[in-house]
Amino acid sequence: MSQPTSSITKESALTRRGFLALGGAAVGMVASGSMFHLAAYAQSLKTSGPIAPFRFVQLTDIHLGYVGDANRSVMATLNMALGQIASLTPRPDFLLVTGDLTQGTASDYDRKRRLLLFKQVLDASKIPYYTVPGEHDALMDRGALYQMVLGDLHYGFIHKGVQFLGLDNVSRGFFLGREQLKWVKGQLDTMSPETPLILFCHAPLYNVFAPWNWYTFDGAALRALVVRFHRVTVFYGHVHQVISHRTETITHWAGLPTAWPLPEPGELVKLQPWPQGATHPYLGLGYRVVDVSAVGDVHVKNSLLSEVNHGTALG
Amino acid sequence: MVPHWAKLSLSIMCSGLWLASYPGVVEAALPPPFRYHIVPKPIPRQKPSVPSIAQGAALFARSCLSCHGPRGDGEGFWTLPTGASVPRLDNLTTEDLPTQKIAQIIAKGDGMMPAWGDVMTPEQLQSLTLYVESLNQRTAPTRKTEPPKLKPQTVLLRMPH
Ligand code: HEC
Repeated sequence: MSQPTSSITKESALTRRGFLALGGAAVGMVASGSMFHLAAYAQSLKTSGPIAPFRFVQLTDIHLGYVGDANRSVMATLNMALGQIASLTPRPDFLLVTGDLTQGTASDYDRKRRLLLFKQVLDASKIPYYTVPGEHDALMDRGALYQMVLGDLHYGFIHKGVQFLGLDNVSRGFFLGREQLKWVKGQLDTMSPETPLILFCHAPLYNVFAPWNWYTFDGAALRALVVRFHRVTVFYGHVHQVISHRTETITHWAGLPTAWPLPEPGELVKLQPWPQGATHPYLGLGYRVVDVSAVGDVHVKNSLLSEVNHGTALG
Repeated sequence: MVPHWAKLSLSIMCSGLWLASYPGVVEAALPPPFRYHIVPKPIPRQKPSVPSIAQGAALFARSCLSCHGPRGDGEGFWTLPTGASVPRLDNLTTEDLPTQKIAQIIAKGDGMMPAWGDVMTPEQLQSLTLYVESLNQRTAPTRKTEPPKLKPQTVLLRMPH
C-alpha cells in the first residue's frame, strides 16, 4: 500500500513543463537507441557468402553388418550405389549420409568394427562425405563409438553459400534435446534469412508416424527456429522410402535406402521389412541427387538402383 | 416432544434455504422484471491439475507406446536396433522399482531407454511416472481427498430433534 502513495507524491512534485521535457527526452532516447540497435543488427546478420551452383548426393540407411532376409548383401547394394554415383555428370561435390550407416548391435566391439568398415568403404569412394548418426549407430551407447570413428554428432558447415546443419535426433532417444536446440539457435541467430539452409538428420523433424518412432519429439521447437529463413530443406532417412512433405516454409525429403524398403506408415502393426524378392532384388533401393541452383533453390532427383542410370545399365 | 407437522415444515424451510444457496436458483424463482438485475458471478475457469495421470497417458501414447506397447506390456510396434525385447511396464514391483527409481529411469534413461529428462519438463516427467505407476496393481498414487465441507443448512437439516 505504501508504494503507490509514494509514487503519486513524486509525480505531483513534477511541474507540467518539467514533465513534458522529461517525456520528450525519453522518447528521443528510445527512438535513437532502437534505430542504432536495428542498424547494428542488420549489419551483424551474416549471409554465408555468394551462392555457386553445385550438386550433392544423399545416401541413407545402409545398415552395414546386417545379416538376414531383408537384404542378402548390404555391402553389394552400397557398392552398386557408389558405382552409379561415381559415374554421375556433373560429379557431386560430396555425399550426405543420413544415418543407420551400420546395423545395430549390443556388442561395442562389433559396432566399432562396422563403423570403421563404413568409413573405409566411403573413404575409398574418393568423394568427400558428411554423416549423421542413426539409432542403429548410436542409441546403444549414446553415440560414444560413432563420435570416436566419425566425429561430432551434430555440426554445421557452409558449402558454396549454403548453410548446412547436421543434427542428431537419435542418440539419446528420438529428440534433439534442449542443449542441441540451444546450439542450433546460436548458429542461426546471427544469420540473414536469405541464407539457404539445408538440415540433415536421421529421423523426420515432423510427425510421420510416432508409433514407429518416425518422428522427433521436439521437432516443432526446431522448426520454429528455422521458419524465418526463406529457403529451408530437410533431408532425412529412417523411413526407408521417399516421402516429401511441407510444414510451414520447410520442405522435408526422406531418402531412398540402400538396405531395404519399409511399408508405408499408418497401420498400427509391428514395423517389419519384407524378405528381399528374387525377381526384384533392388525394389525401392537407391539414392538421391540434389542440385542447388545459383539462387539457392534445391532440385532433387530420386534414383533407383534398378533404373538404367546415366547411360550405364546397372542392376 | 415436537409434533410431526412442525418437524416437517422445519425441514421444508431448511431445504428451501439450502436450495437458495445454489447460484441461479433465486433468480429463477423471481418474476421476470427482477431476474435480469441479478448478474451471476462468473465461474472461475477450471485448470486441469498437473502433473496428472491424464497428461501422463497422453505423453505415453506419443513417446513410449512405440517401444513399450499401447498397454505397456512390452508389445510395441517398433523393434530395438539390437533386436532385444523391451521390458513390460505393467508388472513393476515396489521393491524392485520404487517410485523414485521409475522417475529416475524415465528422466536419465538406461541402455536403449531414452533420457527423456533432456527434452521433457519436470512436470511432464512426473505425469509419466504417475501414469506408469497407474499401470500397476501396487501402491496407486494416493491423492489426499478432503471430506466434503457441510453447509450450515445441511447440518440443520440433519439435526435429530
Ligand atoms: C526406444 C525405445 C524406448 C522408448 C521410446 C521408451 N522406452 Fe522405456 N525402456 C526401453 C528399454 C530398452 C528399456 C530397458 C532398459 C534396460 O534395462 O537396459 C526401458 C525401460 C524402461 C523402464 C524401466 C523398466 C524396468 O523394468 O526396468 C521404465 C519405467 C520405462 N522404460 C519407461 C518409459 C517411458 C515412461 C517412456 C516414454 C516417455 C519410455 N520408457 C520410452 C526402451 C524404450
